[in-house]
Formats: sequence, structure tokens, C-alpha cells
Amino acid sequence: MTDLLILHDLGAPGGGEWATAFAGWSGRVLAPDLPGHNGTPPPVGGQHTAGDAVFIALDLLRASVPNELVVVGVGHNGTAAQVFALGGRAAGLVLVDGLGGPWLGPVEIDAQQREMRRRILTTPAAIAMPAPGADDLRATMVVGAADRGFAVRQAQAVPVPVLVIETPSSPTPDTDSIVDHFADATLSRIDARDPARVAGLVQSWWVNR
Amino acid sequence: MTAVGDEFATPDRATFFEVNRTRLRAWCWGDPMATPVVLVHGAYDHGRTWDDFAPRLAQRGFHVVAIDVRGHGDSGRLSSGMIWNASTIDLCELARVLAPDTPIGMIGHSMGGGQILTAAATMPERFAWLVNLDGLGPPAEGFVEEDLVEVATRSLDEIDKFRSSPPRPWASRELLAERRGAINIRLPRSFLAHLVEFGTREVEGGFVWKWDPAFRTGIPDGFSLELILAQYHHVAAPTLALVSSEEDAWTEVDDEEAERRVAMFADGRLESVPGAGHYVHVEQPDFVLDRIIRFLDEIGARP
Repeated sequence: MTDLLILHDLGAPGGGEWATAFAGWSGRVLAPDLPGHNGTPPPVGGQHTAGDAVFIALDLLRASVPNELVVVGVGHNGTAAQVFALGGRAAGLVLVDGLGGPWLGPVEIDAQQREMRRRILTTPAAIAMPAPGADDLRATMVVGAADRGFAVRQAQAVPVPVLVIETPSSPTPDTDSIVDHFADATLSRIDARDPARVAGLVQSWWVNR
Repeated sequence: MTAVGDEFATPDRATFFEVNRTRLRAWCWGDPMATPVVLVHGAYDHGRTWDDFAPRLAQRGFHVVAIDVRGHGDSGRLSSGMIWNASTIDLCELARVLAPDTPIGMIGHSMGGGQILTAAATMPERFAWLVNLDGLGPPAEGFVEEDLVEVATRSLDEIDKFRSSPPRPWASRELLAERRGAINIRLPRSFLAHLVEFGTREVEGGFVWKWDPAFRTGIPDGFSLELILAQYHHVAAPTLALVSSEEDAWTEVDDEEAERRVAMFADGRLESVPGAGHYVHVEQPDFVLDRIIRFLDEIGARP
């Protein structure tokens, strides 16, 4: 039995659409609404980080009997999904537009982070706590993984099979070249980030392995 | 001011500031109508670590506000240790709250020294001057490319541990002081006792640090020396960096590297503090205060 953990993108509607799309999966499907999404309170202290999904997912997994696990990371949460694969907690990894990018040098990464902090500081709704149950504006103000060297190092280190699904929404400019760094990767391209189509690809990939 | 033992004073006021979705504990000294200056402590410390230094600064005409950084002391809790962006936003907001129309000065030690630099690079218009106390970041050799499988495995294990069990209590505050003294080997026993007295709380079975256990957790990222240097380039406020001269924990940035980093600031000054390890302001408060006052005279910022 293989369970599935799905970490939805930041600023997306939540885990519900993914749980629905994967309803035919033979194992359990864990698709939490991550902090600040769909009524889940924002992270303690209010700042969204790449670690939030990891913390929530570990809580979920600790509360249940662990089976073999495939982790799906969508968009920004590709980073969190890769941590599960690197840390020996996943038997398979799926990245949906989750490789990172666009790639920037240190000067541009610093500029991007400064700009993000300034945007938060100059947006009153981002500094104040959101109303209970409301989606958190600040979840949409997170900058993505932009260090190509680090992305390559991560890919080289991932010890499990990987399915990379790319859509026109992907921020990665050189998908093929990043995918080449995984030891065991399959690349699929689809024309929209449609959970049902992603579910079909994941089912077929995992069953045929 | 009330003396604590023979060496430390009690803050004139204690309050909280609500900023950036958290609550910062603040220990205040001096005339609240005077020019504000914010003191930002290092990792695993708290605002009361300034109890010797802060009143000296207040006597020079400042309203001194020593905060507990988020996740430390009595301030708001964390979701993870990835606090850099949040903490620096806190400092920018605190500057606005304390002086809505005027840029202010900040003094930061160690991690706090790094945070005031990031804050000033983010919102230059809110910062008049900065003093960085032995907080110019890790040495170049500290940025080794670790095995990511090992790092991720360790991160997940640590997160699991802290989310599933409370921190282990220590039998006495003396034990905590002794353990901390084994790390910060140059700190006087009286300071260690003070740090522990206000940095711990009693729980069933003993004492635990007030800092949030989440502060120790995070996931691997691409933090690099190049990023630090890129950020320093945007520090526009006059900045004085006072660095340790004696070997100690976290004093690995050598003179040449310190000069290189301070040269990135638009208006930077660097000086080594004789006879001091990492806690320059604790070991040599008179020297540090003297250099700060000279610096403020130079830039015309002394009240």
C-alpha cells in the first residue's frame, strides 16, 4: 500500500481539489490545507516559509501508521516535497511545476528578497493578521527558489524515483537540464495545471514502476 | 533603577509592541521622550542581556529599547527557525512605531547585528545609524556544501522531535549556566547567572530556556556568503562594526574578512575591541560605549 502526500502551491485554493482528483488512489491521500489557506490559520508569527508545509505534513504523518509514501509538491512546495525525498521519508517524488526558478544570481536574489520585505511592509493587510477563516494575502508574497546551483545539488542528491510534471505555468526556464541531474526521473508536459490530469499521470507512473 | 545583586540594574519599564503579526517584549530605559535606540540581542539570548550596557547608554540621553527577538524571551512564538525575513520586518516596523517620522539608530549583537543590517538594507529610510557588535556573519569557510541527504534527514528528525515532545527540563538554573558557560567560555559567571535567570522559566521537573524550540529547526536552503555581501551593499546608514579581538565561540571572521565585509557598506567603520571575545559589550562595556559615542559625534547623531 502506498500513501500519497500532496503539498499544494502557496496562494492556491487548498488541498481539496487535489484530494478529489486523487480519489481513485489505492492508498490514503493526505492533502492538507496548508497554513493561511482555506480556513487554516496562518503560520505562527505570520511569516510563510518553505518549511511550513514540512512541519504540517510531519504532524499528519506522525499521527498515522506510516506506509510507503509518495510525496507530491506543487509550485513553491516542490521545495518541501524534495526535503521529504532527501530525508528518507518518501519512496517516490512528484514535482508539479516544482523545480524552482527563474534562476537568479546572489545580487538578484537579494534584491528579490528585499523587494518582498518592502512589499509586505507597505501593504497594511499583509502586516495585520487576516480575519479568521480568510485566505492569507501573505501566502502570495513568498519568493520562489531561485538559486540554480542549489536546485542542481538537490536534484543530484534525491535518492528516489521522480516524476516531473511541467505546465506552461512553470517558472523553470531549463527544465530538461535540471531533470538530467536526477538519478531516476521521468518528465511529462501537460498544457495546464489540472489536478485530474496530474492524478492520471501519477497513477500511471507509479503503477508501472 | 533597582540594583540586581551588585552588577545589573532593572529596566525602567517593560512593555510589549505588537508588530508584524507578533508581540515583541521590550525592556526600556531612560526618558521615553528622548531619541529612541533599539538593542537587538543574539541567537538564544534575550533583551535582559543588555542590563549592564543599556543604562549606560540611557545616561547619554537615549530612550533605550531592548527587545526580545521573536521566538526568544517573552516575545511571540514561531512556526520554524526560518525567522530572518520576519525578524527584519519586525525591526523595520518597530522603527516606524517608535519614531513615525524620523529614522532611528539600532545596535545589534551577533545574530541581532546581522538582522539590523538586513532591516536597514530593506528600509533605509527608517534607519539613521547602526552599530554591529561582532555580527558580520559566519566566516567564508562556514559555507561548506553539506551532504543534502544528511542535512534533510537531520532537519526532519529535529522537527519531529520538537513537535512531538516538550523540551527536556534541567534540574537547576546553575546547570544551565554551567552548560552555557562551556560554550561562551569568556562570559563571567555573574553574567551567565543573569542570562539564565531571565532567559529560563520553571516547568515541571526543572527549568527550560524561554527561547522557542522551533528556533532550532528549518529545512536546507541556499544561504551563501555571496547573498550576505550583496545585502551589505545596500546598507546606506552610517555603520560602526565593533569586532572581537580574542578567540571565542563565533569569532571566526578574521580581520581581513571583516574589512572586506565592512567595505561593502556605503559608510562603514570597523574597529577591534581589545580584550574582548564575542560579547564585546559585556566584556568591555566602557570601550564599546566610548566608541559608539565617538561614532555618533562624528555623524552628528548624538542627542
